[in-house]
Amino acid sequence: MLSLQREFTALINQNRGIIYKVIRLYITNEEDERDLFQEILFQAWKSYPRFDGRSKFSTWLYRVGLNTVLTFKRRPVVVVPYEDLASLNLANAKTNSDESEALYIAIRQLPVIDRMIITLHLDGYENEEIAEITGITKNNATVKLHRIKDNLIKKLKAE
Amino acid sequence: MDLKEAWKKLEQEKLSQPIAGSDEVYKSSKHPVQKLIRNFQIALGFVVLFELAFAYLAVVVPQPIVKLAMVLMMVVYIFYFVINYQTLNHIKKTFRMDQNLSYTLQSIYDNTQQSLKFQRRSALFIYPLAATCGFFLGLSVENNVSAMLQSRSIWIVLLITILVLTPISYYVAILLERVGYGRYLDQLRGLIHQLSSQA
Repeated sequence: MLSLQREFTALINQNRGIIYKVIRLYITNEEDERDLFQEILFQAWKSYPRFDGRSKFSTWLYRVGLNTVLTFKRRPVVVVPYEDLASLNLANAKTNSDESEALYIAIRQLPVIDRMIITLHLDGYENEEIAEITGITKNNATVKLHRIKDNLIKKLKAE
Repeated sequence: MDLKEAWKKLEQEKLSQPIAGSDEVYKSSKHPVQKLIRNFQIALGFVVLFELAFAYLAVVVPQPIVKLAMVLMMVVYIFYFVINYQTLNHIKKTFRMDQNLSYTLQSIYDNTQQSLKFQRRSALFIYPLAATCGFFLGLSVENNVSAMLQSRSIWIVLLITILVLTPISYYVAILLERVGYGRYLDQLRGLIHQLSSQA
């Protein structure tokens, strides 16, 4: 048990970035961020004894994180904390930071499942892996991804 | 704009930055399924307590008819223990966040609803029995139950007790079920609906 815990802690420390990323893409409130981080750790630890190593730990953790975020009860948001795309004046974006900020806002405006699919794609996951993580078919993932990319690019160009 | 390049930049600048307070030790979960698990565990604890109470009464009350009633109640509570234990076991086995989420939540929701529905139906037969057993136990405090059952008026009182207590117990049980499981099942249904509408 102790060695399993040590092994798990080491793997989590190596892949902490995945949890941070998942949280930042779905949560806007600091208290929720902390709660969700703990909830993901709890769920990952509970499922870890049955992790069979068929997929990479990072892929597995991504799935646990995304599933947890989808079922996480958020505190009601009083103020929308991020700026509107328009305020960034993307047409005249001069720096990479402006572009990445615009991408962040555009992604966050997508429905949650679409957000999952595009972020997994941008992270370099193959369509088959995206299907495995999100629980949809490979064909559905491919079609959806194509549509989401078009939609995202249109959104970014329009601004 | 190159999406992948902008994404890499976004990861470095924002997404991968540590979250304040994320090193705290984790103790419990607020997930609705976790709350269901906890409440089924509490229900099982109560079933065991009642079993012990019935066993104690079966031993200390000298009248055979009351002993028989207590044994019957023990059998009923073993039945409830088995049903609740099976439901809890199913939830624990199914609830894995590394599996297909829609399937997991739907399976937990359906199985739990089925179990609660079955318990509600069987309770309609069990409450009259429980009322009778309670009635005998009450009578046994100062009387000989077998002798009293020779009187017709006692049977009428027993019938009235059953007719009054069965619906009251049924509605109280439904109320308790709403408090213990209902809101979490509602949350689960909401999540399932949300997932299916976005898939």
